[in-house]
Amino acid sequence: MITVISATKRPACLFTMGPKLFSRSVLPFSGAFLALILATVLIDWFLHSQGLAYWGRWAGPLGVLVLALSFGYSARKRKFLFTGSLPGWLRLHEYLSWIGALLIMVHSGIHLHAWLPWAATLAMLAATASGLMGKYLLKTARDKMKAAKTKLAAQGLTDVEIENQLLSDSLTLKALANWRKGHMPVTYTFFFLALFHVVSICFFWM
Amino acid sequence: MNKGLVIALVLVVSAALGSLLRPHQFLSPGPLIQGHAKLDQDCLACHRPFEGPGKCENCHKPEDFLKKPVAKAEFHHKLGPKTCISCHTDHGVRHVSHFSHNLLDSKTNQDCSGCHKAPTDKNHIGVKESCSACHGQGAFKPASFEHGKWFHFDKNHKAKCITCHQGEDYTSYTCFGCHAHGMGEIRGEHAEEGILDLRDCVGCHPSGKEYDAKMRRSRPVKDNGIQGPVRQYDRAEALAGMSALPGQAGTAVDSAGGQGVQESGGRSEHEGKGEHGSEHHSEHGDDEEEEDDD
Repeated sequence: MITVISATKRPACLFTMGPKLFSRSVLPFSGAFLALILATVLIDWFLHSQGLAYWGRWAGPLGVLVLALSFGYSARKRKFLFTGSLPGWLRLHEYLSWIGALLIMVHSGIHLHAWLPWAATLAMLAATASGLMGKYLLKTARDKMKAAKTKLAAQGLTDVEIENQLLSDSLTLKALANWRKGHMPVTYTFFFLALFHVVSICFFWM
Repeated sequence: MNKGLVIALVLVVSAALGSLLRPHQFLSPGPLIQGHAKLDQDCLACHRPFEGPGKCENCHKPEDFLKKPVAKAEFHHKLGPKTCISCHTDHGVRHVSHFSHNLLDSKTNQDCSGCHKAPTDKNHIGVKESCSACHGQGAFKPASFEHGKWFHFDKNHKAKCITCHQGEDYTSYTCFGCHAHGMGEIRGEHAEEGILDLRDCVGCHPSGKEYDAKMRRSRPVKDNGIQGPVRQYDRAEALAGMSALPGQAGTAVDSAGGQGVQESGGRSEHEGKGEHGSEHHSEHGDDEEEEDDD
């Protein structure tokens, strides 16, 4: 988070940022992640208290299904899909990823033995945190572009000149590109570890 | 190449190799039970690829169950076509993890004592009803004994079990374990009504309230040899759904008074051990009580 903020023109850190930035950016990011953990604990507690812990097993396949649906955004972005707007798919990706991660977390429970499922779970948590950070970066980029556009328009520049100016403002775009370099490997790691886990389940318990 | 992708590749390859070479660490949901510990690193000893665990009969011959105690053998034979893993799991602590009574045929399912040792504590003495009258099949506790059939707890009677059932004997009760019910305090008022037997308070006051007496005369007390305020009762009758307590109008007045109540461990020393059931219509009074005490 500190790195992201320092990538802006006016460096800031968690201690110097204004309350507005904190409430609009940091809080939603960390809040969504904490809500994920809290919801997992609550659902897990509920299932155990009702003697329904066994249901957690079925949360796994359901979570995989939801996560698979969330990757419709990637398919749309790479033009494997042609329906729906890209921002709409992005929003769906954000929501479904959170829900899918929740179901997988409930499925995982706290059963510390097999290494592979836990590695997959940790990779998924890393991917979720990374995704939430990307959401924050995207929001920051949009806000910056909007502010810059307004400023340039006030200076009397034409739309074409404004577009050219904004393209040269590469700091924000660079931050997003750097983020993708981290997010995609983490996501791939999660994908393959989860795949191994599913294959092992089919191999031993099908 | 992207450094992140390299790290991801290393992690994925490590996980794949680990799963292949050390499956008991990377894939096993838990250590095997003690009896199967030697198979801990040999997953395929029990698991068939893409079919699941199911090689139990390679070591455990079904006919071996006949050598077991009869109840156990019958229990397993009556399970039908289910496989061992319907109930048993070898990974983790509990060997029998998800047994369901629904796997049993109805006759076996109702014969609780065929598998479970019948409880012999004081709480279960004389109970003739099916276990299911109070207990569910999920767990022995909590049980759902309907205490209200015997005594309804109102706001003034949120008492602990031991206040009324002393010495962990739930086959008897006393109302004189509470400061509010001193025998001397109520004797006079009851004598005015012709009620001299002060042993079975609940017989007339099923909710413990003064004015919920169903009758103004004491009903006869079963001859159980009890002298004093502690009365034996038959829980089986309650469980059978007896809404009205035994001994109603038109019965003789029993005059076994409660004088000379001596608390010993919370119970009267006059308590006897007689059988339930035979009606006691004696007219003896306090003096006779003294004799019985001897």
